[in-house]
Amino acid sequence: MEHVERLLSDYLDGELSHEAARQVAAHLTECLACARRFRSLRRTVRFIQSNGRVPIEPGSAAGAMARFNQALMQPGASEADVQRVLAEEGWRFLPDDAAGEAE
Amino acid sequence: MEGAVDLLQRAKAGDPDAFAALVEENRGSLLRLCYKMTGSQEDAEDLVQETLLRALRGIAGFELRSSLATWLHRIATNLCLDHQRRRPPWREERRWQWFAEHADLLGQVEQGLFLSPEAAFEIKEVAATCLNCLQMTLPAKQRAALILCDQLGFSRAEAAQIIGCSVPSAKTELHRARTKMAAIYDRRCALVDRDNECNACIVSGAAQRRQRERPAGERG
Repeated sequence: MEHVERLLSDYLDGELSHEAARQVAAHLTECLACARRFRSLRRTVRFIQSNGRVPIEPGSAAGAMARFNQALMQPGASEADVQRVLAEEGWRFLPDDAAGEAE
Repeated sequence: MEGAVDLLQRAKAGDPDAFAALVEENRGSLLRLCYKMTGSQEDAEDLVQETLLRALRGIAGFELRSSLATWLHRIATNLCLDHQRRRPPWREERRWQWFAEHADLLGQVEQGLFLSPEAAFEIKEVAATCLNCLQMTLPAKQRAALILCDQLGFSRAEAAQIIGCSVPSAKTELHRARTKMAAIYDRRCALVDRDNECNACIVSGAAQRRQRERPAGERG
């Protein structure tokens, strides 16, 4: 069956016609690579759907972690930005020598 | 309690209280959308303000052909896509690189962050934060489809209306987004494969368990 990979999201969400779904299901029992891709997709989608609705309070530790990630991953951000977030979030629980190393 | 149709009529006539009542139940969702699209709380708040301003200006022309939620989220999504057009997606590599370079620090930071009295971290918060940050590495349209369909509960047809594309196009963006995220988690997340490098959720879970098991007097 051609291009099964592109149909996997539709298949997962029950968006395919009965016949198309039947063909995909049959293919997944025969093709190890597609079966693996499907399992990976299904696991990821379940994870996203269950964790994607959790609220993040801006002042919380999770919010601090998000700002830290932003300083790391945002294009144009520098090591100085990372250090600034570490300082601002008062990661005071870092042992003194580790804080010194970070600076 | 006034019906939605009456509120809409009053809002279209220029009543700001009626408008506010009408949009109130969408505010949380709009904020979540803008935060997840931009990765910044400040930008999100600005974009929601702008969305509501534009909606207020445009409410006179709004007919109940599309739903109010779809209409509001369309305004917000357009603003977010514009906002992101000038900003490239976040880069994954830098994060893993930094933690590889500061391996000792990572262990201490995770212990401290998750054990500190103020933290009160749940695994779900770690996972949710991780998701928000990792999806910032997606192209903006893929990110929008993923947020609208898998996190805000819109149908594919609604997502297509909101993004302003065809339904097949929205489905393609959604599938691409999911596939990219799957690849990241498969490569990096220790919940998926114990040998993977990011075990923030696991450390958090273990720390929370240890906190709960301590005698009450000893806990932070």
